[in-house]
Amino acid sequence: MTIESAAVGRRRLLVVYPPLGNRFYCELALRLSKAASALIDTETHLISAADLEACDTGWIRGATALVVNPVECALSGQRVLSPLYASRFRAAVLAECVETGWFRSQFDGEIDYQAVIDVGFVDQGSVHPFPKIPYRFLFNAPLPAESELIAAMRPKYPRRLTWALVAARTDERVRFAEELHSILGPEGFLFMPDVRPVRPGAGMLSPSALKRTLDQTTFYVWRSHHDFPYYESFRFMDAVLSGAIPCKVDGQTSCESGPLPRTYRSVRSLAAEADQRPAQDLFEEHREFALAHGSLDDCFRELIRDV
Amino acid sequence: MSRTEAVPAMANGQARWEHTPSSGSGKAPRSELHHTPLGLTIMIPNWNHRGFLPRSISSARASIASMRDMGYPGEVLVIDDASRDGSGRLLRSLDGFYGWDDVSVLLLKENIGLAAVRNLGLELTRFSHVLFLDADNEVFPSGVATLFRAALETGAAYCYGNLLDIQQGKAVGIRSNEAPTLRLTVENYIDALAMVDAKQALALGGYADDPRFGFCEDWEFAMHLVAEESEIAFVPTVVGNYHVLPLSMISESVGPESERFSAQMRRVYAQSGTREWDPERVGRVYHPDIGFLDEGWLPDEP
Repeated sequence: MTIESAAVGRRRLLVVYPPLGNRFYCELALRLSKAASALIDTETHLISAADLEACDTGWIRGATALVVNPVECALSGQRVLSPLYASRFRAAVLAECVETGWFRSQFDGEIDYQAVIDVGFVDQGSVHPFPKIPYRFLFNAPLPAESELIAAMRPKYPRRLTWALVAARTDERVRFAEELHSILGPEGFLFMPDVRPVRPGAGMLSPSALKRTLDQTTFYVWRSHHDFPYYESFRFMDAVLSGAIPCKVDGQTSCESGPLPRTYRSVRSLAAEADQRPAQDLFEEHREFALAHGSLDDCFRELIRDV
Repeated sequence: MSRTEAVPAMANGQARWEHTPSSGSGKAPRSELHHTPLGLTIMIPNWNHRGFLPRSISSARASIASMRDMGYPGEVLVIDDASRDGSGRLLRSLDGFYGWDDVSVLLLKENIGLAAVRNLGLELTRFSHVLFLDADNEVFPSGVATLFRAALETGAAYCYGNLLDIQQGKAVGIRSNEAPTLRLTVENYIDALAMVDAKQALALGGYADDPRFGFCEDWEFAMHLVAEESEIAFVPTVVGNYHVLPLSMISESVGPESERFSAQMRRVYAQSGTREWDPERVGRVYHPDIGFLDEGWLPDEP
C-alpha cells in the first residue's frame, strides 16, 4: 500500500462498503471496485466502513471516497465514517429511487458529500431532492466479463420454474404472489420473508442461492415497494446473467419501448405476452438492452473523470 | 370412503386408541411398526368445521391424485374429534353419496384434543409421510408434490412452505414464509400445515398432548425437533391457502391465553430469551428443482 501510494500522479480511490448492511450493497461496492480497477491512473481500495478508523489519516487525505449506502455503513457505528472528513472528495453511492424517504435519509448522517452517484438505468437528476449536492448518474452496465457471459448465453425454455419472486413481504406483494400463482401457474418460486438485511445467518437467500434459483427460472418477476416510477437495474442484471427474463410489473407505468427494458402493467399483461411471444424472443430483447450500453468499466471511467 | 368409529380409552394415564383399520381399496394394512411405503397421507383433523370440509377434502383429494400421477400412493384421512356441528353426519353423507376410495374417516366419540388427533394420524398412516391440513384450509396439488419431493430428497422430519392468507376471497397475508432460524424461540411463524416424516415424528414422541402448551402444539413440536437436531426444511413454493376466519386459530392466538402459552414456550426453549440471537442454523431451505439454498454465502469481505 505504501509503495502504491507513493506512485506519482495516481488517484487513490476508496470504495467503502457497509459490512453489516444488506449484502446487495457489498455486491454494488465490489462491482464498482472491479470497474475502477480498470483505470490505469487509479489505485483502488475496497474497504469496510468498520475498518476506516484503523486507517492512517494521512492515507485517507487526498483520497477520493465512494461511500456505498451511508446509512447502512453507519450500522457499524454512528461515527464510523468520520475519518473520511480527511478525504479529498466524498461521494455517496446509491442505487435507489431518489424520490423515496429511504434515499433522503442517506444524507442525514454525520458527514457531508460533494456528490451523489446514482447507479441504475435512468438518470434521476431532474428529481434529485438535494440540488446542493451535485448528482452523477452511472449507468449500470455489465462488467466486461459479464458482457461476455451474457453474449454467450443460450438459455433453453421452458425452465423448471415458470416464475420466481424474491422480495421482502409487503401487502401489495402478497397480492402479487397470489396473482402469479393463479395466473402464471403454480410452478413458481416464492421467497418473501419479513424485511431485514440480507446477511449470512438471517435466513435469507445468498447471492449465489439467488443465482442458482434464477438459473432454473423462466420469468424473474418483481414489483417495487413504492409507487414512484423506477426500474430496478440490479434485478435486471441478476435475471439476464442467469438466462431468466426480467419482468417488472408496475400498475402505474408501463414501458414497451424506449430507454428502459419492457415493464408490464399487470400479471395478466405479462401472461398475455408470454402466450404470444416465445420466451427466447423475450430474452433476446433483454440481452440486446444489456449489451447496448458498453461496459461498467467504460461508464465508470466517464463518471470518475468529472469527480 | 371407509369409515371407522372409535372411542379413546385411557390406560395408566395415557391415551390409547381402539380402532378398526378400514378395509377399503385394497391398500396395505396400517402398520404399527411403520415399515411403510413411501407415500403420503393428507390428514385432516376436524372439530366443528363442517362447513369447510368439502373444500379441504376436495383439495386434499386433488393433491393425492397428483401424487399418484407421480407414482406415489396416497390417501386422505379425516379424523373428526367428536364435533357437535354435524360434521359426522356430513362425513357419513359424503361416504354414502360419493363412495370415495381414497378417503378414510375416523369419527371419535369423545373429544381428545388437537395434539392427540395429530398423533393418531401419525399412528394410523399407511405411508411414510403425513401432511396435516386443518379442516378450514386448502392445499394445492403442485405445492404438495413439491413438498413431498423435498421431504424425500432431504430426509427432513418436517417440511413446510408458503401459505397465502385468504380473507373474503383476497390474499391478505402470508405465513410459513421464513426459513427456520432460532427466531422460532420467540414466536411461531410456521403454520401447522406441514409435511411430517411419520416414523421420525413418532420416534420423538409426536405432538405434546400437554395443556400447558395449549394451542401451541405445532410450535412446541417444531421446537422439539430443533432441540433434537432433527432436520426442518423450508420449501419456497406456494403450498396452500390459509383461510382467515373469525373463529380460526389466528383469532384465538391473541390475548392473555396466547401470551401465557408463548411464555411457557419461551421458558422451555428460549432459555431466558438468549437463544433467539444465536445465528446457528436450525433448518434448511430446499427446493427440489434447485437444491439446497442456504449455502453459498461468501466470506464477509466482498
